[in-house]
Amino acid sequence: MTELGVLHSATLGFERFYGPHSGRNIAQSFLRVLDKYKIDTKVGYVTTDNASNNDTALVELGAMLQERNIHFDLITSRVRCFGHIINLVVKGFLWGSDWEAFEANIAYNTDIAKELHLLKSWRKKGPMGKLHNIGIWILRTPQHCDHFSQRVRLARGQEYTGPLISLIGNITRWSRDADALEQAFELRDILDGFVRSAVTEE
Amino acid sequence: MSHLPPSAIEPQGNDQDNPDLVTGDELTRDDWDDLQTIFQILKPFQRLTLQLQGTGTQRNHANGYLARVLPAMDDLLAHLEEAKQAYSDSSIYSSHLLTSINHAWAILDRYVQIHFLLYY
Repeated sequence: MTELGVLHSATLGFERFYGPHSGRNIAQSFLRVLDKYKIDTKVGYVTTDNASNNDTALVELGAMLQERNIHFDLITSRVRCFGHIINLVVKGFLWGSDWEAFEANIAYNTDIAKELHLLKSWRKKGPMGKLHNIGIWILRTPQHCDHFSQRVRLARGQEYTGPLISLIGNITRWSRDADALEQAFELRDILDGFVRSAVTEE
Repeated sequence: MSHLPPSAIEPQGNDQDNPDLVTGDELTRDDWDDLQTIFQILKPFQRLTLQLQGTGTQRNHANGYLARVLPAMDDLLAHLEEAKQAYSDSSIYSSHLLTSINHAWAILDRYVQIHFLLYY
C-alpha cells in the first residue's frame, strides 16, 4: 500500500523447493521469506489453492507464528484461489470421477450403479471424449498436422487467419477445454471430413 | 487422465500400431449438439475466469477482490441451478448432462458453504 492508499503487489520470494510438498515444508519455506524481510508480524491474508497440503501448511504456519507470540487466525486468514475453484468445478463437470454428487441427486430414480457405468463410457466415448481423441490423433504425427492444416487452408482460402489445428484440453487449466470447443465449432466441417477419411483409409 | 485411451498418451509410435484410434470417434449431429450445450454451460465460467483473474485486462480494475469473488460464486451456483432445470428433460437432452451438472453443482456448493461460514 502506498502513501496514497494505492494497493501494489510485489514478488518477495521465488524459492527453490526441496523435499516433499508437505504442509510443514511449505510453511517453513514461506516463513523463511517472511524472516528475510522481517515481516512475520504483518501477515494479513494468505491465498492458496485448495489442495490439502495447503490446509496443513496454514496450520503449521499458525503454530510457528504462535511460538513467536504472533496471532494468526488460520480460518479467517485463508483466501481460496477462485480460479482453482472454477477449475475444480469445470473439471468435475467435464471429466469428474468422484461420485458424491450422486448421493445428493434426488432427481434420479434410475439405478445409480448403472448410471455411473454409463456416465463413465459417455465420458470416454461421448462427445468430449471423442473430440479429445480426435485432437490427439491430429497432433500425433507431423503428417497428420500438415494434412489437417492443408484441409483447413483449402476449405477456407489463403486469406484465412484462424486456427489451423484443433486444440486439445489441458489438465491444469480448464479454459483450454473451452478454447478447444470454440475451435472445434469453427473447424467442424473439416474435423468431420478428416475423421471420415481417416476411418475410411483404415 | 482416465478418459485417455492408453494409446493416446504414448509419446511415439506409428499409425499402424493403432489403426482404430479414431474409429468410433466420428462426431454425430447429436454429439455436436451436446458439445454446443456443454459450451453454453461453460461460458459463464470462462467469462468469470477472465474477468476476475490476477491483474485483469484494464488498469485499476479491482479484479479478483473477494468482494467480487463472492457474488461470482453465487452467480455460478445459480447458473448451474438454472442449467439443472433447463436440461432436465431427458427426452431432449442426454441424461449424462444432468448428472454432470449435478456433480459440478455439488463441488461448487461445497466451496460456497465454506465461504458462507466465513464471511457472512
